[in-house]
Amino acid sequence: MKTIYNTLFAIVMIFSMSSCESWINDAETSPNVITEGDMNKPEYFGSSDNGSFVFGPNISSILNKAIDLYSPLYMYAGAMSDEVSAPATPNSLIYRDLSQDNLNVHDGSLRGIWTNAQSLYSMSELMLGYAKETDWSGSEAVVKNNAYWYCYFYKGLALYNLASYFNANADKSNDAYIYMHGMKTSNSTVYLEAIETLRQSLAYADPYQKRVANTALVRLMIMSNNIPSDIANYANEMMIANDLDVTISHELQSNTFYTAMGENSRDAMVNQTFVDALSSKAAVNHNPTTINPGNNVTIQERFNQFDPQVIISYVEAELLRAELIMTNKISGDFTETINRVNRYYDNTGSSDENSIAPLVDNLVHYRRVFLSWYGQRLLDERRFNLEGEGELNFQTRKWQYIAIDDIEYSN
Amino acid sequence: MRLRIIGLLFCLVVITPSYVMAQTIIKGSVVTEDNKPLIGATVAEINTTNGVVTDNNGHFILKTSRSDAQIQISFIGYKKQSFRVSKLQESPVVTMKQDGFNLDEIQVQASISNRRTLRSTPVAVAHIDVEDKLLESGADNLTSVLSGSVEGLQVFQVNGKAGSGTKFNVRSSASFSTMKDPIVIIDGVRMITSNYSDVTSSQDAMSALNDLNMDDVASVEVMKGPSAAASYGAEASNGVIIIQTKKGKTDQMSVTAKVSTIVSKSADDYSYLVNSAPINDFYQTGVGTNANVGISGRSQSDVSYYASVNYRGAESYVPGNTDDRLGLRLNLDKKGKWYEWSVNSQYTNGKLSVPLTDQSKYSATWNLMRTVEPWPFLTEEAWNAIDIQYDNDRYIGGAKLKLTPFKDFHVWGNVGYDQNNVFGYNLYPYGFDYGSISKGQKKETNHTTKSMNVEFGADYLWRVNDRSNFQFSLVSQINRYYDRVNSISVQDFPSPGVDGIGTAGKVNGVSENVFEKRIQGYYGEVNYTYDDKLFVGAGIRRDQSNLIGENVASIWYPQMNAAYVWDDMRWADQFKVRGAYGESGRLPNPYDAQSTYIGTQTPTGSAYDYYIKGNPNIQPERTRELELGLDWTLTKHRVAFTSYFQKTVNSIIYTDLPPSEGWPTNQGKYAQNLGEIKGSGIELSYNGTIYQSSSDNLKVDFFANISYQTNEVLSTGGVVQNVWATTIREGLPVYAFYTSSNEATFDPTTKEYTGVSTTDPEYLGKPTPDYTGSFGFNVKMYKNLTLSALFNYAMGFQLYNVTQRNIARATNDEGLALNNYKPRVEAYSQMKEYTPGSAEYIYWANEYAANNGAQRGDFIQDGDFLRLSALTLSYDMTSFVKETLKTDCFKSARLSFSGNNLFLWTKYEGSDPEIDGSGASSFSRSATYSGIDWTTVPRARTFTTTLSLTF
Repeated sequence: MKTIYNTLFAIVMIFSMSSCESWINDAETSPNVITEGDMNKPEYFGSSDNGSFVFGPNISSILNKAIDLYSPLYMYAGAMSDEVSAPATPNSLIYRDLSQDNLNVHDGSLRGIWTNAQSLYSMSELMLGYAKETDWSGSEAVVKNNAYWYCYFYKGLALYNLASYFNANADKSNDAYIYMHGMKTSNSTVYLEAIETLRQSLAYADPYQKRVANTALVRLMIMSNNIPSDIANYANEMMIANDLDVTISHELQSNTFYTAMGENSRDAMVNQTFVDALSSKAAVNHNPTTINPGNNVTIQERFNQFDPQVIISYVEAELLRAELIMTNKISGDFTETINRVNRYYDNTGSSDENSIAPLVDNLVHYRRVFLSWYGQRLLDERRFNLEGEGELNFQTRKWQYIAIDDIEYSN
Repeated sequence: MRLRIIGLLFCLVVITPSYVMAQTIIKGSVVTEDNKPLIGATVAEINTTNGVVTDNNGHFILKTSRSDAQIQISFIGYKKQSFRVSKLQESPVVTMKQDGFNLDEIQVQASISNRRTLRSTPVAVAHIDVEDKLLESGADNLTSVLSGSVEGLQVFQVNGKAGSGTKFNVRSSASFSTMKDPIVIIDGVRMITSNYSDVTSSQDAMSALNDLNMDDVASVEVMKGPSAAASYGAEASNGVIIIQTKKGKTDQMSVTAKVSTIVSKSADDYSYLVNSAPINDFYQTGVGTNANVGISGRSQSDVSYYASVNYRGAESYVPGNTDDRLGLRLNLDKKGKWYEWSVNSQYTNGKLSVPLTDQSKYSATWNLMRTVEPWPFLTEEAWNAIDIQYDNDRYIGGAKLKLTPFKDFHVWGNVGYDQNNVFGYNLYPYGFDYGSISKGQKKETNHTTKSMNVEFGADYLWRVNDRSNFQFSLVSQINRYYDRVNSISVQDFPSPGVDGIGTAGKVNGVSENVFEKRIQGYYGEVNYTYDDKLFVGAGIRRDQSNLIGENVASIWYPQMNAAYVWDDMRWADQFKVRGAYGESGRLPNPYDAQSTYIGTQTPTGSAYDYYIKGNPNIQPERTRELELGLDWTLTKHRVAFTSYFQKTVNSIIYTDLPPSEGWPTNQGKYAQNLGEIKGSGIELSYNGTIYQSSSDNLKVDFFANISYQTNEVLSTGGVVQNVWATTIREGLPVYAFYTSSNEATFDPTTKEYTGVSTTDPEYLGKPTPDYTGSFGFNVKMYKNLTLSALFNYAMGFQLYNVTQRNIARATNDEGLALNNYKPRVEAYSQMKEYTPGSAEYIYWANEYAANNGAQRGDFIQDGDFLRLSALTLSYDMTSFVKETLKTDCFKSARLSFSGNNLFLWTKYEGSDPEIDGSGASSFSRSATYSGIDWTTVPRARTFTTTLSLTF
């Protein structure tokens, strides 16, 4: 009997391991990491503090990608236009290469900026996917709405950035295209998806978020030349107020304008023609510059090391409105709209103009000085066919978008 | 099958009463040809489990129920003999005759489920008698025991420091994996083989193999490739090393005390430096001590025991490099009629001090070689003040129970556990100038590694008739490997002598990392034996692991084999042909299979960032191997020949992801099964007695082996990866050297040297040798004096001499007076001696261009070498001691002198070609480099004196 028991016991032990599949999958992962599929819970998106939304890690992950992207993206765009120039002996060569149209698709810095742009898109899309998987019952509406709004809004911004700043095709006679999900995709297609995504964000937006999203939408519609007949509805939703700025904080990470063009850097300098264009007190107030005694080049003083980057601003909303007035898409007073911007930076009124003709040249000037170091000048030079005042005539540049790293082409 | 087992069970029950009733008692003794008692010889009734071993006097008492039973007497190294009971009762003294190459008695691990005799093993499994090896070579660690002992296995320490890691090149090395370590199993425990580099570079990592006390080891077996190791599954492509520790053999207690003194010196001076005195004078004479006391025997309750206490205090020739290890071991085992059990435990406490002599800026070797004036980056006093060490506590233990519920049927269970707690400590103290650090810096790590394995198995021998049988085996196994590292790094202490973590002004980093690997496998095997001559087998293993992608359900590894043995032919005592096919794997690295996001702090709060993109389809790299061979034994000569063909598929290559595919390129590589590599090789060995005098006063044994191996990358899925001078690309060997070199350029008018041009990258060699091997002899004189020698060699490989390149380019042309690289300085001065345009000028200009350090290709150097690895003189002074002291209490006494690494002949321009500055094996999620010399400390020359006494 004992023998039989022993035999049966051993055989049972041998085959008991056939139920080991769950044991295999219960292996511990590092406490530093989280695996896919574990982030679809309301608390990962955020919480409510007396009705106010508090960021959870999923939303912070999106914002962190925006922090990674925006200041270098705007700095690159500035170097391709006439905002930023290269000093004689730069440390990092990327701004000189951008200024001098020496882009190389093998450049590691290009890979970095393209990666950052795609990371903002993929992170917001990833989190949007988790938001859709999440069981929201039991959580406050403010958490769900903010979760969706941040995901849609930043996904829309990411698509806008990808379509506006990047192009795999140096040949200007052909349509611009980039790579999305490993596939060639025209910039115009990406723009349309961006518009649709930002529209979807409106369904979850609070009043302030609606103004922000509408500002982003109006900008997107203008830049992509997809201006609908009801553009006034979007423009009106931008509203007139001076508390619109959306900033992304750089508290733990240096702002690129400071690291590349600040007091301790010699990678880049403020383009002298830009300094010359600062003709009003408002323009100077908004664009403080100084001469770096170390190397005698002009540096910016707007951004300190950890200063936030503005990505949607009241001033931009006003200038978008001015552009729509200029092109008769909406009604309004062009001069008063511009003067609201002047007074935003010079509340003495000394920078106000009596009359400003609603002309492209004027609009371009005010956009140049009040939307400086904000990524807009590159877009303006391209869409208004400006020659610009950079090191090269903008229209003769080979690259009018940022090139895409060649790892995309190899697939 | 069930009916058969029940039937056998029934027979057992029926037969038992008569078995008890009529028993014959046989008393006898077994002696050697010179009439000495043979202790531990097996006296067994053929085709039963009934057997005993001889005692300290060679005596045995065997009870049998059958008066016509056949009794077989056997002992390793002697020809086995069989007798009828009646014959044995008539002549109870059996004289055993030596048989130099008796494959019939040596048992080796043939698969995870069973051990077999070498005779019946259809693959080339190496068996090393470690006690003999220690006597012959002065070896004191696993690396030196394996070195030169196994054809097709190149083993060496990655540098000359005590405690450093071990590099294994197994057969053709047809893999991109940086994890090249074989599975090591000691007494059934899956042993941790990690190389700990928590507070050092990988070059200075502490090897977990250090904790193995070779004086505790009885034998080491090596299964080299998938055809032998397929039963071990998804991690076995690098082979399996089976270590058996000692057991008590006799009823009488035996005590062995052994003490060794080891003197270490620099083997050779540096000759390629302008000012070589600082580095040559830096090395010292190190003196270490090993002491071991082992007790073995068998208790009255028939429990065999082996216990040992061991202290190893190694001091290398590098100042400050010491490795102190205290080890305890207790092995117990018992064999009953229907059961066997064994319990093994080892505890080790170790402390390794690692002087900074790697490739880093503040390394002594770099600071003493870089420029003519030594210590350019820190003072010698500051270097001496750096304190780096690893302390570890380790327990290795296992237990096995084997039951024989009825004849020919066994069930068994085995549990193994190995835990290593390693504390790492790296201090740059306050008050010295270490660049930006002047107030001190410290890093501390707590690293815990656990390995656990559990196996259950059953096997049944079905005797079809007297000549043929089938053996069926089934094993279920789980392996768990767990690794946790906590670390903190701080700087800025308040004053000298105060370096507590809490007193630091700045925390540089805190981290906590965990990795766990789980594997579960089944293995089933059938072996058929006919007439003890034909052996045919087949088996299959199924594995699951958390490191395999979720879309890959499980992995299957088949094996099949056959061997045939001819005995007593006119031209051979024994001739065996064998063939085997097997497949086994290398698991993906941690995080290859599952996408992970890492927690981080951002300005907006806690967040996740991309960490590693997992591939749900990733599966283990798979190596297929066909092995064919023969073993030929004639009198006292044995030749073994093996050829093998390998193809590795699903080789893992880590690629950059296009960011548009949803994962940022620079946030970890993406693992894909893209590669295919082919490998092949030939292994040939000879062992034999080439001279034996009639009086036995002189006996000369000679051995030699040679292995040829090659590999070629067949496919990389179109990926080309270059890391420094190393490449992964189709058509070249794995990790081939593929890079550019310099050529001098001249002014077309003046003919003066103007600089250099760079050649296109080209194939310049590879880090794994075409040929490896060893040879040597044992000369036994006057029965008590033995002289042994072991030579190792390798040919057809290259090293990237980063040391010379870095020294050569440490200064530019303007600073040539400070340049310490003699070939560069001499070439420049010679060039200046001649007229531009002359042949001599052009020659020296090209030499100057090739030695200015700009291009890696100029420093890819041949590594061919021949080394006198060991020369040992051993004196068996048992008789002398007995006669002098007039006592019989000594069973044996031996004194030996060994010299290791006594001579080195090499083409290599550096100090020693058998090192690797990239360190030993480790997980790496990217292409890497191998075969480099990076200010690496060369191997020491050691002199060992050993006294061994057995009471």
